[in-house]
Amino acid sequence: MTVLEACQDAASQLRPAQAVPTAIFASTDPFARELGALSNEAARAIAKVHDWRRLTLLKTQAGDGSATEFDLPTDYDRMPVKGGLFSTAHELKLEPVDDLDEWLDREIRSFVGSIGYWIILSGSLHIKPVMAATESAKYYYITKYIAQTEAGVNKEKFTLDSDVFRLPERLLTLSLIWRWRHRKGLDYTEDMRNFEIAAAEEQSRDKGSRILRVGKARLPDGINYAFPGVINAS
Amino acid sequence: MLREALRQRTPRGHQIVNGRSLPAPIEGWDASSPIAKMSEKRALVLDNWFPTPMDVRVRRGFQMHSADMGSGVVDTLMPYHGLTPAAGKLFAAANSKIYDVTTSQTSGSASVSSLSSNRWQYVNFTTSGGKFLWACNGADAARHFDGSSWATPSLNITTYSASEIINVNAHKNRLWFVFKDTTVAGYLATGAISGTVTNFELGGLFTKGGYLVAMTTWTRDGGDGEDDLAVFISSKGQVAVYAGTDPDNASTWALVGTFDLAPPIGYRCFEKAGGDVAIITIDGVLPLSLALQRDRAGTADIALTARIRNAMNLSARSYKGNFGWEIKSYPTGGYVLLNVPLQEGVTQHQYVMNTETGAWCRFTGQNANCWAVFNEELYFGSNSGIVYKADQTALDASNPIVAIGQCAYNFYGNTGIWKEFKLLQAIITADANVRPALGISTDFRDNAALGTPVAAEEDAALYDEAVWDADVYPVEGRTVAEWASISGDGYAASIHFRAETGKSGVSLWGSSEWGQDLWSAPVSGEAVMRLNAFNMIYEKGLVL
Repeated sequence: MTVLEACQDAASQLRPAQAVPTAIFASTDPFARELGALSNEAARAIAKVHDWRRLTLLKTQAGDGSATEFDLPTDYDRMPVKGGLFSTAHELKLEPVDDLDEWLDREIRSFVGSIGYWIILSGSLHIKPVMAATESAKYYYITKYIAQTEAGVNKEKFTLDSDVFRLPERLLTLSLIWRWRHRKGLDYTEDMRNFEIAAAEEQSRDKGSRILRVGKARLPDGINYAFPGVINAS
Repeated sequence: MLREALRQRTPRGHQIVNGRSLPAPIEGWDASSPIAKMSEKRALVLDNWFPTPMDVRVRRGFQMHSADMGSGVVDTLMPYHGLTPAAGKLFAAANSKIYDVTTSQTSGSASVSSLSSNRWQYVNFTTSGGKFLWACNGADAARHFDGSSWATPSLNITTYSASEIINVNAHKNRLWFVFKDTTVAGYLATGAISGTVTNFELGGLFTKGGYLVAMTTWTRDGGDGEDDLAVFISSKGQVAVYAGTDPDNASTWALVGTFDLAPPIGYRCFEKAGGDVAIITIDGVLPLSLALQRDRAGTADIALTARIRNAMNLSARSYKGNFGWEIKSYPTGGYVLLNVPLQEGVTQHQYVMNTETGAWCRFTGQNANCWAVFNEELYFGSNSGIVYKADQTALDASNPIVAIGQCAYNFYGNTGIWKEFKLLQAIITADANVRPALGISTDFRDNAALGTPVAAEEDAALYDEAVWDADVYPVEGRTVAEWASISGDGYAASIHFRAETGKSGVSLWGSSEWGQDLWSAPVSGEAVMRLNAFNMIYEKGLVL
């Protein structure tokens, strides 16, 4: 379903009734322009509210023996709520440094940890100590490319009527309905409820990490399995 | 869910907007009221929308009637009224010739040639010898038409010549003339179309100087009778009124008085309408009956154009020297139009008054030099050698009619409260599922962003070609009440509306075949677009 179709679906359900637009992003009609702006806002909000598996990508950051600062992927939006950094050189996860003072303290004291540590700062990923050329770090991130062109090229926002939402389109349609009614000062409580119920359903089916249910059951965070390999009979 | 639970305890989500209904601007175009205190039934702009007592509707377009009279402008249209409508003739003066354009044709035939001027004044006059169209232009010898042929009447004139007659009027069964650039009128014997002309000097009455422009007959009872008065007007606006029948006899011909009005515009400044006479002056179009009762300074309020005073004054000041000023009463259409030549021979507008309500509007896109009502139909002469029949179809020839309007600014009952305007509904009656483009401007700024008009069905049926039960028929009288999203904020808002008829690219209502010539056959082919009312939804804010 294209963003045009999602907007048309929403428009046909909106009350008071308006003419269903035949174009969105090329139109000068105020209603079409409202739907166009709202569709991008709604899509961003849907993408942010949950760590969708559909938008979760794996990044492999190779070391070169000298660099400690690495560019984030161009489509980087955020890390998953529970997302770590793993290195091929260590059995344990690299240690995230959450506190800026601690990072600064380690910088000044030239602290060298045994398994390495990392932080995202100034739009870059910093990993210390220096990764060797043979070493690489891997992490999952959520892409900000939530839209896709007709040709299948991912992009950050809708700019063409033929663009496609990479997440469930039904959420986009339902979100458009309540957002438009909210914008017009009309009662939107039921419309918003409809959207949130649908969003919750989609999130539970997504099997991704959920904001309010972080972590695995009955296992403390950060525990590694004692023996991750395979026991052979011989 | 946490957010769900939180939202349940808060009042958000409920409706916070207000609604207000407004009538269509049936009181028409207003160019005299203060912009912040205008009646909500009036409009700041009303172009090609015609106000009726019920609604505001898109005017009908014009169709080509007769062409090929050269590339010059058509300066005059002269109807000859025969005993029956079939005996009537319509003549057009263009290209130094007079053409018979009675029937619709692509090639007009010249009835009179080798003329010096195309700007004729005329009168229809009946004698014992038949019915005549008597015409003069102040450059060529006067002519008359007797129902079958044109001729030059034999006139025995003292001091002046037949080619100096610039205006003609029939009064008390007698033809009266105005000699060009003089203060002298002339008259023939009763029931005569030729013969000896007796001069009648009016210079002594015209104390402000100037020359005699025109003469008309003013009847106070609407018919031809003993209370008919002869009215002469000078170029300085002085009006001499005579009562009586025989100017040769002082006992039956007396001066009623002289009156000062504003200077008239053009030789075609008079038009009889009902029991009154309207005069085009630089102060506006004045009804003679009221204008003669007061001083010039007091005529502004009684002018027919009082409601569009500013526009009228601006046009009179700017364009009074242009040829083309003319009033034409068109009872079939229910209006009187004032032709306003913005650029002589190029661009003309019409200020149009609904004779039933006195509501005004403006017609644009009908560039007309001259107008005539012939057999109850309205014709005009164009700037390019073509005679068109107006008030006909959904198109102006082959072009769409662009109708734009802007309602009065409205504070929605709260002058000091800031508002955000959200949604607008136009309730219209149309022959298809169409609606005009809508938008608003706020706080007297011209900041409206008009939406896209909704077009009619692309494949609406053609008259005489459609198949019953298969094609989509245009239905007259369908009510369309779709909402349109708008955005704007301020204390006051003014609704803009714009419609285009016919087939011409995108953003049109009535696209495709709908509104084309086959369906919109002459007379019956109206593009139905009637604006009845508006509903506005807005949110009240704070006193800022």
